[in-house]
Amino acid sequence: MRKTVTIGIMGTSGVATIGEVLFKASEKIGCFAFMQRHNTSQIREGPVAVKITIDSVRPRQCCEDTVDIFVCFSRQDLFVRDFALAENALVFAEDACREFARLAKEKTGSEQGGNIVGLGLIARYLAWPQEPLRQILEEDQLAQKNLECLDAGFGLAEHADDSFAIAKSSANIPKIVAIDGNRAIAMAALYAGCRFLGFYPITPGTDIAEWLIRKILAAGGSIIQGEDEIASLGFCIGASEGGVKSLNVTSGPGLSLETETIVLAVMDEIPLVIVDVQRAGPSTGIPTMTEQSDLWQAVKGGHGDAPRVVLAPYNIEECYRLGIEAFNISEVFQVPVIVLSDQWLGQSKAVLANRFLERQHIIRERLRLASADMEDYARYMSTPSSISPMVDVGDKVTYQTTGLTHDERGRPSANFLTHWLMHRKRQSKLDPLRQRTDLVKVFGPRSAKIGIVTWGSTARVVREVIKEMGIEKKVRLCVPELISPLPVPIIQDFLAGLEKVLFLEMNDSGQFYRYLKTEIDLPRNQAFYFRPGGLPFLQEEVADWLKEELLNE
Amino acid sequence: MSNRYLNDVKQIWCRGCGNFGVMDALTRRTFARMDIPENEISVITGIGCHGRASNYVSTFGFNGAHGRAIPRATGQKIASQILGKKLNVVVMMGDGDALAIGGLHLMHAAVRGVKLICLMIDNHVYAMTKGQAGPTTPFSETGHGALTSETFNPQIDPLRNMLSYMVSAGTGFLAQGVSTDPEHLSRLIEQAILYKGFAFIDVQAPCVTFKPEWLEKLKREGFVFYLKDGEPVILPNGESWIHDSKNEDLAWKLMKVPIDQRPYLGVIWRGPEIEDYTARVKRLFNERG
Repeated sequence: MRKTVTIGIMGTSGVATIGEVLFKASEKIGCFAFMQRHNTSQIREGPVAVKITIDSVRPRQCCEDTVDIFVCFSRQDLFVRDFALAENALVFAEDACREFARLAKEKTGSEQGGNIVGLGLIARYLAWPQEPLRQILEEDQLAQKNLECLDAGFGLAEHADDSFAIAKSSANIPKIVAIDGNRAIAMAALYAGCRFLGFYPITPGTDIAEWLIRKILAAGGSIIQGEDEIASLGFCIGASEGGVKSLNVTSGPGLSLETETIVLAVMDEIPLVIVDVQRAGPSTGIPTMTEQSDLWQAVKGGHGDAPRVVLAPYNIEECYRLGIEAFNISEVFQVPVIVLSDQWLGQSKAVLANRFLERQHIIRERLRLASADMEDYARYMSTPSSISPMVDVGDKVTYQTTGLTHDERGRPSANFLTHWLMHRKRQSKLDPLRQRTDLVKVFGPRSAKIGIVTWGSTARVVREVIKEMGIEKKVRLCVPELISPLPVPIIQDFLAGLEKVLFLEMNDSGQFYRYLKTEIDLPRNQAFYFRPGGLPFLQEEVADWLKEELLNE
Repeated sequence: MSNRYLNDVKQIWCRGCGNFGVMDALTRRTFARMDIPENEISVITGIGCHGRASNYVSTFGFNGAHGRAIPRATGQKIASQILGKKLNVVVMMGDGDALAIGGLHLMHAAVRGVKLICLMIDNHVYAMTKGQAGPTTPFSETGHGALTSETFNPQIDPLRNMLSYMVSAGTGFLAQGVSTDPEHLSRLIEQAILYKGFAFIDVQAPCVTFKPEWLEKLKREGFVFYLKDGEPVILPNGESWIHDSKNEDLAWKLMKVPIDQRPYLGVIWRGPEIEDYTARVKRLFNERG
């Protein structure tokens, strides 16, 4: 019995369905799984590929590089890089898949069920029972008529041996959950008390909004799909100052439009959360493909100095934790918080142990004006923490504020000293965040002489590679999840004693590396691997680079 | 006279600015007459001369970014509904705010129908940047006066009929007032406050510095025409009607008259009230399960 098996399916229509059913069935059977989907911005008949790694022993945060079972309905050159064959791989090429369609037509009168024949065939090779698959198909009305096709698929592989068989491991953690990064962030927002959602449809962020709409309405909140991202974030400013925790969900092009509104929120000290599920840019780029290239935009985008908080979770569990933390930080520090996820993190699905969803988290609320202090209220009054009490619009005490430089009472001022003081207020109130050790993940022993710095979803590949290479004792990995303000002391502590530091990220210009350099003196001995997105990092790709850099030592 | 709806911030508009009349109509006349508590009012402005208004009120007061007062105001209104608070949300925008940079937001606010009391402070010019042509500047008019930069930057685009645009988008309450008659304007604002959905008032507020000739023209005896339901109204083409703000045919005719030919002041159009946005969202999602 295998501990892990990776399945690749390539073609056009229907491929995603096979992946979905296999993925859901993994959960039912009790196996961990990780599934990534490749597609383009073509609604019908476009190239699609799905890769799913099933693991009976441990949760996965990325797929295996090579596929053990490859079902190719039609070859899609765009994606072949991610579908290299493992040794002794089982391959069903295009002519075999034509047989699936023929069989489907024979059973149902339509070739459309060919994918379900393929599904049955794969499941039989995995030595899975039909029942969980039938249940999943029955839930989907369209697929229901294809139950005969499933049976036919099983029939095709009647004589399959058990070389690809995989089942629930007895050592499994009992409770597992099927989830992706987008869902994790959406659940986190709800948990954190978000009751207003402003959004404009955009790939690949919209999944978050789609799930949240009904939940927020059911919880007594409201939603608006705006005329653009500018309006959608503007609603959030208004709703938040009205006392309702607010979320905006977007992706790169939307974040660009929102820049003006973000700096207004910084200026007026408004708590709100923006989730940017990054995709390949610039401009329209490749909307369906992952990249980590909005960092500069998130950290510094906008006119004037406008300090804000930027968080970057590196895996699905952290999407949940930081999703909650984003609201907490925005409330406590009265600042917009941008969460940088990405398409690969947001849309790849994983079956994971669900402990992270059961943990209790503290929910924080903004500092509100105490009734004793209502006389002579000043919205931006100076305090030791630089955080001033807020009043919800509609509450007893009124105040005025403006995007103009304003004084402690929120009144316009063209005084250069006031301007300076208010800049210091907005900047310095965020300083305590720089000490938050829980927002910088460090792995590996202090004795290691080689450090790796990476951020966001790339870190999960790096962790997998370090484990595969067995170099856990030799290297030290730093994954800052707090990108802005930069946790300088913590990163400096990480760098102390290192002889060489390696930087890895998925963008062409090394955005985090160059940003880091502006605030921290880095060791002279450095190496980089920066490449744009379009396809996720392969483990082999990262491992080859790492090996070379380690050999150079 | 003391005005409890103003704070003590010094008002820096030009002497004779239309914004004084608008503020007077809004605060000392409307809010005071209706005796609305200060904390149940939020005034949200755009950017430009009128934008200072939100700094001068003693109610809640905010700026949007240029052209973006409506989104911020919409968010506040929705939050007040979620939390069950009374809040009258007054949006003030310049004509550039409303019809140029923020045109999309205005159209969608009308479509969405969240209850906002929307005043477009229409001075026919970008005054804060010293007199460039704006979306309501009459076509081909060249500038006069030493300070105007319109001579370098005349209106090039034909003037669109922005009032009818608002009605097409679904505004159920459309009125036109003038800053030189704050009492009349105040009555319009009061009706807008009492109207259940999105209400829009085009407030002619001539710029004393860059458009003094428009101010003079508006003040000329017999130039403006006051509309009153049940009373006769004569169109420039000689047609004679009895004004009925619920008569859509008449509303379209009134809206098509160029403003510099004859400004019709009063409620031009009052459409059927539509269901409140928040209630509608809830209902639709409940119905669909």
